[in-house]
Amino acid sequence: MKERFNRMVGGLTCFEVLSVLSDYLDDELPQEIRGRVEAHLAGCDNCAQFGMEMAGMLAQLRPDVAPAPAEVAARLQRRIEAWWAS
Amino acid sequence: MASGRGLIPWLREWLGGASPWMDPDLDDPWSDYAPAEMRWPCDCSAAFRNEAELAEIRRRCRALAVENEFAVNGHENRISYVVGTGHRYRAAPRVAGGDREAFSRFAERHQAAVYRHACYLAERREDAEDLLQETFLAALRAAGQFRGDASARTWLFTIARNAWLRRARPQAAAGGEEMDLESLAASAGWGSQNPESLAMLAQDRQRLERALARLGEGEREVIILRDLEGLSGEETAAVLGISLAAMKSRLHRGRIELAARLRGGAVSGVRT
Repeated sequence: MKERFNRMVGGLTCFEVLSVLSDYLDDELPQEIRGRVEAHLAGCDNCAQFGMEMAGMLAQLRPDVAPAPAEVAARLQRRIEAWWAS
Repeated sequence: MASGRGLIPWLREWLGGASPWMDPDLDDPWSDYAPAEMRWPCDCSAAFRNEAELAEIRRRCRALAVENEFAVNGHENRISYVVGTGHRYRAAPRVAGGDREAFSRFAERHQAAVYRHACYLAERREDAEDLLQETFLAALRAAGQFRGDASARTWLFTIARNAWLRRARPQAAAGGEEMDLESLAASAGWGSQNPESLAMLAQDRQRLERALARLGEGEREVIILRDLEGLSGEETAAVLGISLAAMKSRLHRGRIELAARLRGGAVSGVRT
């Protein structure tokens, strides 16, 4: 496995790409490094697939936006009112 | 000469009364607003010596306030203010001025996010609700000191986290050695020919919550704040009280570990 992940593509090894994958997905890499990562991903199926998998997972993480339960919100408002009254 | 006695009622009237500002759309907690854009020089404090100078400061502030939010704190002969985009400077000065309705609206706007965050911090719903209430009461007490150097959610999440840390039982020390990133990534599917889709696995919310629960506390917190709640990197680091670089490092490892946990992969040596 080591050999397979030590491929040098686009001027970066697979492990180097793995190390900056989060920054790449968050679009927080300097342009020059970003270009090299993209060159690597274009020529390395393993890293491209893993990158897409991670991006897909992150896209699913945002929770459904739901209000706080009504009774929880009501109790909070009562606590706030009580604070003002105290 | 303008006096402090005369200034504060003016501020209260201005901040609490008819406002030229539009309420941004806060129904969508993912709505975007510039988190740190300051349109005023960093030195947000100016002295005034007479009515004319105060009038000039007011005029400039009003001009800015047409497009920006504005918080101000007046003293004897000095007026301090911050100006920025979005809603984040608005509630605190009004609450500080004793505006109950403003705080109620502030709570309504943010209670869902704080409650959701509290549910992630606390295992039991009763504890989460206690934490929610504790957070807003602490915010209420501290509103006078809030100067808008953080977004409302950053401020509230920080209060919630600190409250939780105070009440949470001491965590057992992490056991075992950390798995190296390469091995952890292999457990997450790095190098697998046809791994099961992580997106599909994450769609199963129960599976996702189980996977999150099994992360180390630090990794779990950073993922909740950054990826679930959508705070910026800087805001996440601020809530956690760590550097941006440390936050990024923890986030990266946490994401890969989460992927491994979602797959049910071998993560021996990683905290369980």
